[in-house]
Amino acid sequence: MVRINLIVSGVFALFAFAVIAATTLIPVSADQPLTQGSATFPLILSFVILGLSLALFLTNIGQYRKQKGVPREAIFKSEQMKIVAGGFLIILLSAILMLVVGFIPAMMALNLAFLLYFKVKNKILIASVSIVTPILVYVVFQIVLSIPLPGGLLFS
Amino acid sequence: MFANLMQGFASVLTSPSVFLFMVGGVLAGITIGALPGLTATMGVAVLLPLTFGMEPSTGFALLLSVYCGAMYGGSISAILINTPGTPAAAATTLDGYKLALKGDVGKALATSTIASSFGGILSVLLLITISPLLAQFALRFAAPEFFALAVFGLSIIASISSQNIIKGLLAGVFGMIIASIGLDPVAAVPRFTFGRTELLNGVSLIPLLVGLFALPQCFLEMETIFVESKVLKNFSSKLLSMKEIISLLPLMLKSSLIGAFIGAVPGAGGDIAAFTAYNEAKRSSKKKHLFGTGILEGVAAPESANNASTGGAMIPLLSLAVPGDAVTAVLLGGLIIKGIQPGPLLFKEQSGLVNTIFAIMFLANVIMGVVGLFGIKTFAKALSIPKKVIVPIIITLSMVGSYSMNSSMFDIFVTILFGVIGYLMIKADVIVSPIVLAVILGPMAETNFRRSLIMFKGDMSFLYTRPITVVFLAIAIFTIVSSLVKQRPKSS
Repeated sequence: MVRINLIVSGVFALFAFAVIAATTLIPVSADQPLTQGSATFPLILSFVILGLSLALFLTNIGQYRKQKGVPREAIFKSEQMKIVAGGFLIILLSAILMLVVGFIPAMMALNLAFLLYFKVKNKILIASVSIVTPILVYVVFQIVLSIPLPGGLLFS
Repeated sequence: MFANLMQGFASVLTSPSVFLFMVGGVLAGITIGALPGLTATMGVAVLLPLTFGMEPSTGFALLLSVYCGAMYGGSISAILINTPGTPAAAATTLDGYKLALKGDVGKALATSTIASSFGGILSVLLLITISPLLAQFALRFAAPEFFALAVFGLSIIASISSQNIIKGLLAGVFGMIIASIGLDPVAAVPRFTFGRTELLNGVSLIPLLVGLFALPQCFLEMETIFVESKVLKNFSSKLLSMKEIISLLPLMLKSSLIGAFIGAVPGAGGDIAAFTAYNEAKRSSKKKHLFGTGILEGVAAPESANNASTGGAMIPLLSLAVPGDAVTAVLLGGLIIKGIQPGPLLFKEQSGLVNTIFAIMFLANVIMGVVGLFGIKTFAKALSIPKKVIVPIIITLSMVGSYSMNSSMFDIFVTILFGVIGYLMIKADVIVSPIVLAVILGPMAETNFRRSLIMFKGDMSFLYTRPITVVFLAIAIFTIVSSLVKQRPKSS
């Protein structure tokens, strides 16, 4: 965890620098003299992040040096990461598909892809979950609650 | 007050839709809670979009019932497979699972049901009594006090980040920066929008909540998707005798009071309440040597306390708009989305809705007790639903939920982005709930700070000249410092 804490401190510090750079793009508001302006609040927060990142770094660097060479348990295990990356890809592709074909076909594809990816063998289960879940959600949201769902570029 | 409360009960009981969603919410909550990995926070976040098309009372009937049901549901897997369904049920495993091993599964589950229902009902009674008084007091607040209150609310981040306070605070400040995206609340100047009109109103709360609580959980479940889970066995349905119930009553009363008090302290949730009540039950018991070997008291104490924390957590939420934990932060988001601003004015301007919320929480706990006792075996079967089927269904609900708020595909991509951020943060042992607290309380702090500056013509003396402001700021500093001091021996 010591090594990951050092990485966390680095990532947050980079984020803070990015925010500081982005605050230069914020226009000056009319009430600036009185209320410190629109950029001040995020700017203060960025410096707080830098301070906290530094504190995290300093409280862990000593321990990291002591633990150098000691075998440690990996937090991101490659087998698990492969499964998660695949799942992430299915979600991302379904979202892109939803832009084109709309909610029902995209979500049917998502459910089907996940069940096959998880090696579910029962064909009736695969068919019923893939078809029933999107249709049921569609009926509840679009018809019962009148909340519109994406129609997609092809169908809307 | 009593007449208004009765009106709240009447409006709930005479509305079939409210009642139906309450029963549905309890059933959904118990099932979500019973499934290890699915938490009350995730359940409420995923179901929140369902409430967009509903009347406020119907929507809250669903969400509050899910909250109460999930808190109880966690005990089912804690007793049956020694795995707490929710963090709040962790203390229940100590004696619950031992009772199950002895063959007293029915008794253990019945104790958990009765204690949970008892704790929940008692905490709602406290909520009804205390929150209007607190709201009355808070009517004196102006911008400086609300700023100090928001800072106090944000200081909770320190107490909920017990693992590593610095990382918790980093997550909180990150959340505040996320909250600053969009039009500046005082000067209406765009910040960090990068020319995207979708960002002018800031990052929508629902995609953020779903992204941080539902998707990371799905990714975590995927990691062990091919690991076989324990198989559920049949069990006896022998329940408790009246004598046993009566003997547990004093303990349930004491544990419920502990739970409600701890729940009302922002930052201390059901898990802390349950362990505190368990320890107190053990400390004050004549048979303390039997705790941990499988006794009913070891189930009754934590279960009364964790469900009592639900009513307790609603006290600061409704009267001060300060969420006590992650679930109430999501509920606060739900209230804001419905155009309802919790806080002292809520009790004055929408007392009808407040009384309806009280009635919903009371009745949800009653329904939970009845449904729990009659459906013990059915809910236990929820544990046999394979994760391989649950994960795609949750992802489908997450996608539709994040889209439905603004009918925007952009929000779906925001959800996916925060899903990845949330997953990486959990892996790096950075808790994500501070982000939600900060996203909700950050704008409250900034807006009221800058309003105070306008009120005092740019002078910051309001920070130390107004007594209530000083008290809140002092408590906030104390909370952060004491959390840091408490953590120091651990890290060394």
